[in-house]
Amino acid sequence: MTVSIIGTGQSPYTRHPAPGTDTAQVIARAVRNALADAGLEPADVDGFAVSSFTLGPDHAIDLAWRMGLRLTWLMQDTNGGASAGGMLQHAVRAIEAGDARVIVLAAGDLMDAAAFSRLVARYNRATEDHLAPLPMNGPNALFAMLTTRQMEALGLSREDYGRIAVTQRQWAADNPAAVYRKALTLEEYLDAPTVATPLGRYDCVPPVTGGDAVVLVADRGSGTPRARVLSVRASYNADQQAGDGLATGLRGCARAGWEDAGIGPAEVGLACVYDDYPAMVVAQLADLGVQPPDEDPAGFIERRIATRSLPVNTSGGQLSAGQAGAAAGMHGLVEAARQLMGRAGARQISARHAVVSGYGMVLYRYGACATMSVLEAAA
Amino acid sequence: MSAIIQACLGCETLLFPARLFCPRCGQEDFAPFSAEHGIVEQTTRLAGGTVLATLAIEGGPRVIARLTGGDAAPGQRLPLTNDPNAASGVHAYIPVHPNVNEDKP
Ligand SMILES: [Zn+2]
Repeated sequence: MTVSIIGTGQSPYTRHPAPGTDTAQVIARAVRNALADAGLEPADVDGFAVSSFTLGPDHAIDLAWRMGLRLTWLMQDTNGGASAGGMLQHAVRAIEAGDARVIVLAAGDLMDAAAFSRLVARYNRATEDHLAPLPMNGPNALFAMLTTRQMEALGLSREDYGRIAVTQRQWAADNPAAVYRKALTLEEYLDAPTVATPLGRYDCVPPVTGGDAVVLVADRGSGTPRARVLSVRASYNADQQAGDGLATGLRGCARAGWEDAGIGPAEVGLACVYDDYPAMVVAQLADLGVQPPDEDPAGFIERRIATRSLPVNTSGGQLSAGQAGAAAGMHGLVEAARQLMGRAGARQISARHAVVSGYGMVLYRYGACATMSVLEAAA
Repeated sequence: MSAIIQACLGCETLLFPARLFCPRCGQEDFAPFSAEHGIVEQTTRLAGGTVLATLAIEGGPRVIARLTGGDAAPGQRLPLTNDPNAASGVHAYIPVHPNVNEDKP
């Protein structure tokens, strides 16, 4: 059996949520929009999964109740940037096993300055005990040092990372839902205020409030524009945080992910990779094999990404659209499905296959979770 | 001057932050271990001037520290401390709970 995405929805991303906005409302808006996109009603849904950092004290069942959903399958995922892939992996199996027929996956957060400060101070125990008291407020410093390692290992410069940020901003110009759409020049990127050397402002994602959702069903056959899920793979704690963080868990699951999909990385026409920092775009494209192993990374960025001959993060990615907490993991899945379903508006590309990756949960020095999925356009 | 990390009593693997089972041998018996020095691998200077560093402990884990009492370059060997107000000279400060082994009965 094949499982397909037949609808996507977002709750508008905003840097400054209106007073009184709460996480449950934000997620519910994304769910409502995804159901409308799929032509379905809440009563059609029998499976629901959610990921959120700020939903508490509510959980998945509270949301289901408040949205009036009667369910035979329910889950909550806590893996942040990798949560969409984790939920997708479970949901595909649930539909295949007959546990549910129509599953909505949702993620969202109210991520204003206060919520962001609370999140990064108590992200996990290691952070609370050993990083926050340094003091360190969020992961920028960790990814600054990871970027330095990558620059040395791959011979990359600030300009190379800048080309990724500038190109994603070009894509964002055609995404009305992105919070930053004004053209960014390489000079502006290089001259931006330093956050943590070597990272500047445009290497770091803007936290936003927002939500994302997709609707999954068993494949209905022709007549419905959809994004078929060809494969989903996940990796958790692949290296015990004992490495340099330059390889993500994708390196270990990519081979199986492509084998399951029946295509190779050269065949994808769109890559939506988790872009919390440009260095992680580089790392994931390499781990997935989308950047051929024999190709020079700087040359690949210049020839394929910056020219947009290989579309990467066509929504503008988190770097331009914004990082909506745990919804950041769902962001690329929503964009890839929209592109494959022909619903990407002015930024529509023509691609038959897309790869989506998730990455996240910094345990101590870098992210420990990674997911990949390969999608195919069908109608 | 030193910083407390965790040593596995089964295989002597040095760990930080503290684990529940040893990732190498699977045992759950640990003892505190005083690590005295680390080699600076990378540093980053934050907008406010704070300098954080990744250091490799010889035969042990990499740790994240704040440099106190001055600056340091990659390759430099620095004393480690759990005291943010360490004595004069450049130190690598690693915040830690008083007892890294507190999960042990
Ligand atoms: Zn051991």
